[in-house]
Amino acid sequence: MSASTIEITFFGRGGQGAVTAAQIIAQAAIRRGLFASSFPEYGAERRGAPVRAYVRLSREPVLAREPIERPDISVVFDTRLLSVFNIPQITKSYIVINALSVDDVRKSVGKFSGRVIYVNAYEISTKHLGKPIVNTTMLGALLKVLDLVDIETVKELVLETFGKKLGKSNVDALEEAYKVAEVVVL
Amino acid sequence: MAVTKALSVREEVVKERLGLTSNYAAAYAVKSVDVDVIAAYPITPQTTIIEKLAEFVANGEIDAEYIPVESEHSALSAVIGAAAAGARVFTATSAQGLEFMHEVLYITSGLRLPVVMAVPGRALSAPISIHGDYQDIMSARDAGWVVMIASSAQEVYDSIIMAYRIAEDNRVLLPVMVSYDGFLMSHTTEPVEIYHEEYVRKFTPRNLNRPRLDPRKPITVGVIASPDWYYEIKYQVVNALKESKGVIKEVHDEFNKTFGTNYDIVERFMLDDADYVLITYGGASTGNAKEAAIRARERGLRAGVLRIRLFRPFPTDEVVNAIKDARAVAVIDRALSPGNTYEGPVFNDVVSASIVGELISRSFLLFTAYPRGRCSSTTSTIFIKCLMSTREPVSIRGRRYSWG
Repeated sequence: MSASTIEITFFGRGGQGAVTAAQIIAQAAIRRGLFASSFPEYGAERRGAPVRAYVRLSREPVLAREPIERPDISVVFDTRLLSVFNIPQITKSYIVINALSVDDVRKSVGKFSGRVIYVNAYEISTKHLGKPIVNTTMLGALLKVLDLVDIETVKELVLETFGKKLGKSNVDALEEAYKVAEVVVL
Repeated sequence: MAVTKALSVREEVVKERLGLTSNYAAAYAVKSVDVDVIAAYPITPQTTIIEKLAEFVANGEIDAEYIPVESEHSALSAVIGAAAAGARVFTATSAQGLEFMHEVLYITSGLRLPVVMAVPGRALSAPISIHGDYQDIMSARDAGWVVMIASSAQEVYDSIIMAYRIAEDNRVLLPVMVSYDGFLMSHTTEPVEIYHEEYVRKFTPRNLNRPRLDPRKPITVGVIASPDWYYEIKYQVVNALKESKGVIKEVHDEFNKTFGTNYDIVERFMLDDADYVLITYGGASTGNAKEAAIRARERGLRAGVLRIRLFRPFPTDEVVNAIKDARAVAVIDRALSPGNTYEGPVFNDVVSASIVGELISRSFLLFTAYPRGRCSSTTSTIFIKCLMSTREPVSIRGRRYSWG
């Protein structure tokens, strides 16, 4: 892997939209003229089953076509996935996490050498969408630490992906998360 | 100069840059070449190609007849009928679907019909697996089709455009299969530059000047042949496929000129001074092999990658040329030929090429390896080990053969 490639893994559960979130980030990067690739880990397409979706972003063509072993950024949709995939051990720089509170983050992450970005995505997505589908909310939190892709392009793609009405409430959730996501000192 | 020229050509022909999966790229290519008849039956991981095409047809973006058939056997049979009548056709399948249309594959080439088919490769049951490998494509190897194996979504798009030119050329008149990795390409989103339709249409003019069903000039298609004629007709297919290599190269050259690309029937990566050559095909193993070659060079090991882009007819001379100065060659196969002397199908082709090129007699190592369908995250590293080690690579199910 060339040093200029940023590797992101989305850890979610079937039905939470991790695959769609990864697609949106890759599409946004491609629209900004960057190179990107995104693919999900297949084999567990069941509601509630752990799901991984990978994104590579780069200023050069992306050669690697293999699962990401050590992501620069892990986007975690559910704290209970942390131990399933050893996320604090494998993540290099940032864990972007959906949790109930700062205490919940501290308790569930434990030891981690990078930085943690916390957002209560259950609350935000339920408020805007009426149900806890957290993918677009988590994109808002991710954008706090990802400067290769800008929020306007991501919003554009969210609108295109979900259509006008549903897209608008997803954009609202994304914007709120972008505003309130915070760094947690462990 | 050449680079500047290619860039300015690109600027002219490219309409937009989209994030597409290889399956969607296939659908976009079919849209741009103006097909008449599409018949297909859904199967993972091919399904999203024909979903997209159904959408294009329903929206009026493609002016084609879309036949949702009840099986793959019928899908290929339907496009055979249409192609025999002079229509430009498309179908797509994977894995069990390709097996189910197997007998019709031979009928397509025997009837010399320019059918174009996309095949994202997938493992064959049993046990049931939906993951990508090339077992399905290798089982279609001897059916008399031109087989191209792409390694990126852009290349899938470009190859399908080229495929119509190749298939419909009067010197070829054979079906063309454009294959690529199931899932690791079919479902991976990556940048694809889509061309203005006028350039694609100009590149792929219809050839109606071929034997076809026409009530004004009746002919019979699909007759029985006595053994002497059977042999004659089948041998014409053998010759046509052999001769098609020249046409395929011509089409590549013209495509490169028109669209500012740089395709060849093989891809050479860091090969000019390479002592160690990895030979492979498809997206995942080629991308990972390139990464491995870069890492090996960082450690002072002169490694390179040869990618087989045209699988049938096999690029024998190009392979010989690429490996003639190598100390060791590893073939990363993505399929098996059980019971064969060497189990890797492309490994066998490379051995044959080595005999033709008189490379076998001197000190020369050949490895073969079969990485599991999904290509684990350590595959690249194993490739390097495979290159450097004279021992049998332990992490890959494979074998080492050496001569001299």
